[in-house]
Amino acid sequence: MNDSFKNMFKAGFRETVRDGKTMFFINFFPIFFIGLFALIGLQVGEINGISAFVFMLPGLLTFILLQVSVFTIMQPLVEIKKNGTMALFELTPLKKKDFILSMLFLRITYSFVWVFIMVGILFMLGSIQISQLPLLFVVILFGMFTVFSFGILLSTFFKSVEAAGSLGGFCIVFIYMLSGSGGMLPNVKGLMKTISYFNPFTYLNQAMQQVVFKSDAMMFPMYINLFILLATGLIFMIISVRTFKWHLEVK
Amino acid sequence: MDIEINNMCKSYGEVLVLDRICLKVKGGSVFGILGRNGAGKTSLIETMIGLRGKDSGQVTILGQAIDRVNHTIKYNVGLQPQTSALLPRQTVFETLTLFSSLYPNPLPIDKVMNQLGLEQIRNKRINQLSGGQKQRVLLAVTMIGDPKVLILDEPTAGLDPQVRRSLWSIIRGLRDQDRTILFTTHYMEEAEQLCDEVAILHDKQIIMQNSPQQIITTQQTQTLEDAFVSLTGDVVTEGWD
Repeated sequence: MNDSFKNMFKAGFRETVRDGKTMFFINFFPIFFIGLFALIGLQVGEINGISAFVFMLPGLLTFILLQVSVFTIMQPLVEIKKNGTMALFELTPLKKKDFILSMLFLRITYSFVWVFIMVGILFMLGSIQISQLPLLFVVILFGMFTVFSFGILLSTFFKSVEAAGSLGGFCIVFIYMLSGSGGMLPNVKGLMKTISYFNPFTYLNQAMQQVVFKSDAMMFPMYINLFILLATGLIFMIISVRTFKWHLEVK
Repeated sequence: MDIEINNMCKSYGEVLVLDRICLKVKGGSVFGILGRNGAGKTSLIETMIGLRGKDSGQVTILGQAIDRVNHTIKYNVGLQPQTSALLPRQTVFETLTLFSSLYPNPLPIDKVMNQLGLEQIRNKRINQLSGGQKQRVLLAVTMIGDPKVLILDEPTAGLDPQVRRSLWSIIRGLRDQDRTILFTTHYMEEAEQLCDEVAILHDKQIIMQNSPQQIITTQQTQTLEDAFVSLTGDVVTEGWD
């Protein structure tokens, strides 16, 4: 790890934790949903023989990753492009690799805080064992690649920070609701189920459920789900590289 | 010559904003680009260093051809942008530590802070600084990599006279260290006080390049401002920045 990477990482960390609005969005909603799902779980009882609360936790993790992606990747990227910070960095010897890796490493670190919280809850409820963890972490890493690439891709469409935050936040709620069984709405049917087939995050939910619940009743086997996540992440990344403007844009 | 521009043209879509620009900037001098608001001064410097692509022409900085931001620009040229491009939630010291870590041989942070009078505000966040303080931090960021050439985009715009004068003495100090300084301004008094040479950008072209005194003599006026008005006319126009 070189000095520029370390200092970029530290600066990114400070920008995030000192921004009250971002901290509110990325921490309040996960806590709110855990509470909400616990209440729903008490009312609903069981889904497919599993506590409704536990059933919805993997989907909630997808939502948290989407939030991290929108509020700590997409929005800051739009902000630093608009302010000219990106252009200022480009005029220094900072390597693009260090810039991107420091950004991703920070988000991965933050996301893993929530992964550990979720895994801790699953442990406390006796719903997961240590032997399941390595595969779960592999699935989550594949998921992070797809979700974070999605955040970078989204940043190429916005020119206003406010629009990025509000539309991005709105967008992820729909993505989450339409990510099939295990998303906000368990056992979806009809049109919503059909739409969920075209949502790549459905396959992240499915892969996590396959690990946590050892369920075989999913649409695809695990390796297909992982392949879909990887392929979608790569497509997002390729489009981002082609559309992302590192230089100043035409006035 | 530290900077040479030959016949550089730049357009945004169909609109030509810089037409056959030619400039020569001597090493160790202070060079001013003068123009009205919207004359295209910012476009000129952004195109010159490769942040924006040029349509045609050649730019040479420190003997190296510049088409896009390259090694020469990254290691030997410092640009102070016009707007505040700094991360808003870092303190002054954290900002300088970050930028210092990006260069192989940076100047000592304390020396730069001392030179620019930033010690008092070292622990203040960027979004808590006044306009003049932000300009000084931007200048410190520009200097921290120890560049041979400094390009400053309207470094004193919007500042009160006292702060402007303190920035002038900093710029003079940088010239005394044998650095080349190119800056844009629309304050004629500033250019007259500071510059060894100026170029006047008007109607997309450089219409004159000479020392301020020579321009005043040629135009038979009392001040550079009068000479500028006599060269560019007194009609109020809109243009590109």
